Amino acid sequence: MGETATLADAWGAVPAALVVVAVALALGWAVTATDRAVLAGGGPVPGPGRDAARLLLEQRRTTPAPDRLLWRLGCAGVAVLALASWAVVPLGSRSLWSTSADLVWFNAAEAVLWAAVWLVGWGPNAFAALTGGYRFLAQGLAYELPLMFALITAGLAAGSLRTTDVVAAQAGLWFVVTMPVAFVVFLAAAAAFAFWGPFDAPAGTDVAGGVTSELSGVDRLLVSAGRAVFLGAAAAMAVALFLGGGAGPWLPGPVWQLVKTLAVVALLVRAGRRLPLLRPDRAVEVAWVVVIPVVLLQALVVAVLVLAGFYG
Amino acid sequence: MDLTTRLRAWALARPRVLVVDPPGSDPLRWAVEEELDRRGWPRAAVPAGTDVLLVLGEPGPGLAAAVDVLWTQVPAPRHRARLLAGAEVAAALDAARAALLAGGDADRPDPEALLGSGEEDGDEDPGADDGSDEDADEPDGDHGGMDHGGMDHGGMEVAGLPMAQTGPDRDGLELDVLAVSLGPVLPAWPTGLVLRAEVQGDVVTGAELSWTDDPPQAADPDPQRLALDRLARLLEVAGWPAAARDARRARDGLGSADPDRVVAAGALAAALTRRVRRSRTLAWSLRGAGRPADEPGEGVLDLVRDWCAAATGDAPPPAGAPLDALAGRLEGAELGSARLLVAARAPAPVPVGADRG
Repeated sequence: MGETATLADAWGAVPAALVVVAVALALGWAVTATDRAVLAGGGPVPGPGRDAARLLLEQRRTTPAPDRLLWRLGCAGVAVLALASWAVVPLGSRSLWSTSADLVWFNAAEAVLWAAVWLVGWGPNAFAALTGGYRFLAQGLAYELPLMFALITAGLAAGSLRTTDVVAAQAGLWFVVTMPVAFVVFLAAAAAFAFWGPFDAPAGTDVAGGVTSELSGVDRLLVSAGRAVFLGAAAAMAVALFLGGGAGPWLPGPVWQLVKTLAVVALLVRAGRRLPLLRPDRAVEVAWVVVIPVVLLQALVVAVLVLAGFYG
Repeated sequence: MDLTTRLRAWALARPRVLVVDPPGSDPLRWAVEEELDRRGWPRAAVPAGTDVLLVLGEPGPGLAAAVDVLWTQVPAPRHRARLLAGAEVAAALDAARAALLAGGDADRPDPEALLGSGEEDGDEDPGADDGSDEDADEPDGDHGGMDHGGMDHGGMEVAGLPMAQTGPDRDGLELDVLAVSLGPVLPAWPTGLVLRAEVQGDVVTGAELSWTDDPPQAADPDPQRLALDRLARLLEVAGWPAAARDARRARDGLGSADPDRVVAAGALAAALTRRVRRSRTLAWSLRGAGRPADEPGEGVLDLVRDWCAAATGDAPPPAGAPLDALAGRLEGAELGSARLLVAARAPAPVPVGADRG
């Protein structure tokens, strides 16, 4: 049982959950700070912590005839789902919660995000926000299937959908070596579901901030923090699924995991900010014509390797 | 100083500034944006994300009325300030932040009264109501800075807003039609321009463009700096903030008195335009945008390259399109393409009504 014991078992449910939330928020802070540093290009960087404090001070505004319940639900949903996806991300060798379908849980948090983001767009009864919401749905058509196949490929090689098992299965060789396509697709899909960087169309400048255009105060804080925490969770998950988790010489596992996660964040942010926006219609086109066949081929290669006993 | 005050001062130390630049105030806006970048103060895109509303120069009556409506949508704590040409930018920003911290702007005019009259002048202190309606639960009449101005549209109304109606779409289906107006204050948009259109989904039909006010007499700014500014705006709309930042930096550098900075800015402009011209992602993403399939002509991508040439000083900036012609091009365009077309065509301000057939 030592292998599959969860953080909740080890520390008690509440302390473990608090630690995971703290880690999630800290990594979300790091993602935002890195992103802003890259965007500022050497200029002064507005700190995310200061922003959060300012948003907490700010009045919550409203619009004419909003769907208030669904709007608030959507805003809270983005943040809650981001934190929920952290339940199955391993910290060290254990995750907060461990089931036989961790990868499905992670995928589900991000699938329910479709609804949450769409509600954030729908709620204020405003044109720009609603346009942003629909753009997110269109974008979902592009990233959802490639993301699922990328996750499944890692699970396939490990023979388990439990994240701690996937980490353990990489004792000999990191999965990124045999599944580089799945790794890249996973990170790109993460940027897409956090609608960040080249996938920012749902909150694009051309629709005045889209889904975020009517948000102020705590609502804006929940949505921005949720996006950042999701990106951080994806980076940590990429380390667990493809980069061997905490494996590495000399240093203890959690330190390696942190170093790798921050490296993935830096890589993701630098690469993402080099590119201009990919319009959702174009993204759907390339996703279905190019990415899905390629990621399926990747899964096929991994399946053949599994049958050949490559992963042991 | 007690803890709450200190916390508040820390939180509001870098307020988000929404800059309203009436036509003809380009050089002033550049000075403000340079100072904001130097301080690391974010620029607000929409009233919802604004702490300081900074109105530059002398807005005409139409734009001033729109600014009054925008102001009703800015959540507290907030401050509204004006900056006239020739004023000290840094001092004005410091004063705005101090006023924001002092929190003296609690009075909030009744949005409905403002929309009803539409004739308010751009006063520092619009309306002196009792300030008890902070909750703003009543209809704002207007939202998001995406739409301003009355839309007389028959049919059902909800909270004073017309509901969508149905109409035939480009594929011959009956789809919802919503009347919207974009502008006159939007991120990366020529301030003072208003696009009134009907949209089906995000497809623009029945587009009509107009300026809120007659253009002021203003000296033409340096064409290369102007081109860099327009290129920055275009890149912003195209969703490439890092490149837009470089364009703004080159623009600011070229206006510097320091010869070293001017040389560096020239090099930055050359490097930026090379990157933009060669970007395969941008070309792929913009391919076909703003160009109807059955009609030859310059698409947005060709215009981006024209602006790049002007940004390095190799060509004059492309001429602004007449409003009617531009409005015709917006017909049937997806909203993102329409925004790109307006940014790329950069229509020049003309007297109100002068551009209509």
